Amino acid sequence: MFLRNYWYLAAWARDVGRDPLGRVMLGEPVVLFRKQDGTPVALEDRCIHRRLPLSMGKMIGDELQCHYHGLVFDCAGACVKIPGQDRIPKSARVKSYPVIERNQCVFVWMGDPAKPDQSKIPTHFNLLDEEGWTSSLVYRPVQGHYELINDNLLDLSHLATVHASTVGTGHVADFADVETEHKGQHIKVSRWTMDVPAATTYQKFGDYDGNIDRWQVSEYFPPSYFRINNGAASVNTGAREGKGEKRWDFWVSHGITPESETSTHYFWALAHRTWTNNQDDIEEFHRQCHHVVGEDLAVFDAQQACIDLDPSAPTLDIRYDAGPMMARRIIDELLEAEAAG
Amino acid sequence: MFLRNHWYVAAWSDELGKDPLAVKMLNEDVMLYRKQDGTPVALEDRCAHRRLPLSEGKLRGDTVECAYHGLVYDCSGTCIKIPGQGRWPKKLGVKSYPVVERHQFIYVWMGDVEDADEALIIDFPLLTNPEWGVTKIHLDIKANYLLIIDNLLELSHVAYLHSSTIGNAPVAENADVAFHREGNAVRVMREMVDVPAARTYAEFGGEAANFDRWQTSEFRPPAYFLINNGSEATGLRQPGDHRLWDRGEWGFQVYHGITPATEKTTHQFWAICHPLAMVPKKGRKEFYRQCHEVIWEDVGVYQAQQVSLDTDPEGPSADDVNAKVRINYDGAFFEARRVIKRMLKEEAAAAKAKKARKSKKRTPKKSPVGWISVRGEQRALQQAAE
Repeated sequence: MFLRNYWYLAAWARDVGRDPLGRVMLGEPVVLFRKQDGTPVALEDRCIHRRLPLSMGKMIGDELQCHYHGLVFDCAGACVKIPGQDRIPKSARVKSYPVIERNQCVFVWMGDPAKPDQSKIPTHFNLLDEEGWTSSLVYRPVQGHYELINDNLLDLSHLATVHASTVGTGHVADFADVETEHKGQHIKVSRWTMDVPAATTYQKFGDYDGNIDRWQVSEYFPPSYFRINNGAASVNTGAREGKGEKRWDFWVSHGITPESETSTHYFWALAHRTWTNNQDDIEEFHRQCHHVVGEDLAVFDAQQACIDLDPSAPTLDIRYDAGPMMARRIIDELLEAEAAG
Repeated sequence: MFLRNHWYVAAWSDELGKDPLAVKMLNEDVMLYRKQDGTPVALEDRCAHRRLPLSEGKLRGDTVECAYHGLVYDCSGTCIKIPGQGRWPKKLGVKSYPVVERHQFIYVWMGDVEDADEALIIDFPLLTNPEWGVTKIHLDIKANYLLIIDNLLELSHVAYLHSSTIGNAPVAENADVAFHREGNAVRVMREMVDVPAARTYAEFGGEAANFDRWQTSEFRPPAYFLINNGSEATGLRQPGDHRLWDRGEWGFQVYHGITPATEKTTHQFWAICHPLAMVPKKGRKEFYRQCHEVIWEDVGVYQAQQVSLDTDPEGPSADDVNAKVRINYDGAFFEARRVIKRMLKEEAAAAKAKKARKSKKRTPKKSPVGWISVRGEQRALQQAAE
């Protein structure tokens, strides 16, 4: 069961081109490509004739030709040619999806195609287009349910263990002051760890010689977007009041698009003010952050494999689970609302 | 659901050497091996004792010894030795399948043993004809076998899928297509008159100007194909049925033995045969390369279709993959699907009738009278209740 009336991140804009790209979203096969003028198009990735994915075909002008028997579909999904015959049945068409390109992302509306809600277009990736900022994008397929990723990003105490080699220290789990709030369907989990030694990544790039005050503020937006601000300042210099010496921070935006009940498309974007001209430092910082993604991925895949062994095995919620539980409740309520129409 | 009372190809002759070979067929595990005199044997690939595949065991003369506890079976599947034990039930053994080797194919009968009839084997004599060249392969396909049948009855796909070798647009755009059914065989005939030659035809047939080209594809249940491809200079002969089984100036034949392994996997035994003179020795390697390119393009398609079916488990199955739209070239495809459905029904009815005959014979001896009377009472009670 997935929330349908939303714009889902289908692909980074750079990955959508003239070669059709196939991607299963919410259990539906979708093919993405660009028209000659660059406009992105999203259609059902399944020829109406023999169900071959249209993404195996090729573009002829603004039309997509199936690789198998050469049926041709226009950008609205209508079949405009069946080789060797003049009459084209009305039923010869594939579904077409509303699509929009913004902030280096291609979003696809997975609800009723007649009623895309423009007000819901995600804005969580706007920092990617900021001037004077540096960013990098990662796409990874995950063999796990998308809510496992939500859980992860709403409970950042896992940095102490999963990411101990880079952004984590034991203090992140043991001495954090955690506040969980929600406004409507939006959740904000703020974690403050005051007067703690700097983790490796912070030491190196924030250039701290003593202890720091550190924050992680994770914001969740249904169906599954995150914007997380991470930062620090020298201890006792007013970080919590928005000031602070050696204030240093970065943002990570996440787009989480279910592929099936047990697999997910994970889009991850790092953005920060370009705080140094030293390209090697920037590259090393991005490398460390990308390493973090890999560590999380290994966790998601292993969790799903374990869940599949026995989905009814008991689970336990702990104190830091307030955020994850809130998100699950919000999703359940929204699912009910969608089911009720 | 598969048709069972048929000969299916289990392997190419040269796949079966000194060692046992395991082949999954129609959801059954079959083990093949050769006796010392070379005759092939087919047994259930599952020891009666602990179910280890016998194909992991050792051949001892004409018998096979299980790798686990050393039980030995002869080539009729009867257990002839249990180490450390002098007696065992006479009937202990594994199933044995009728098997025939002919023209490079090893056929196994998957139905009732008493119905196995060698006359029902579909022969491919050109595979061992010294005047013909052959290239062949055994493909393990991750797709339902019906998707392969669809492919071979709708050769308009050659125009698109195989456009780098044997196909060009006229194969779809300018074909005169007809299909016939003869008994259970479905035959499609496609004729293209006065069209440019696709790459393979131009390179090996040597026709520079426009030519006539024809494709005849015959499906014979449960899942065999004989496909003839021919071509000649336009005007040499009148178009029409008379040339559909010969090769004209240049052509070749394609054979497919298609054996379902499971609902989602299939063995495809594929061969191209050509008169030796039509592809000179020098060009043969390149001709075979192009042919293999074609079959691998097809494999990519069936498998992608299966994935597409699997992403929509609530949608139609491979049985009615076409449900949404029908195009003109689909005629033969529908005919073949109808034939298969009818044959499945006929086979089920025959099996039921046979079972009824057998149980009828036994009933008077085995059923105690009292049991029948209990049934009678029950019926009486039921009627009273109604």
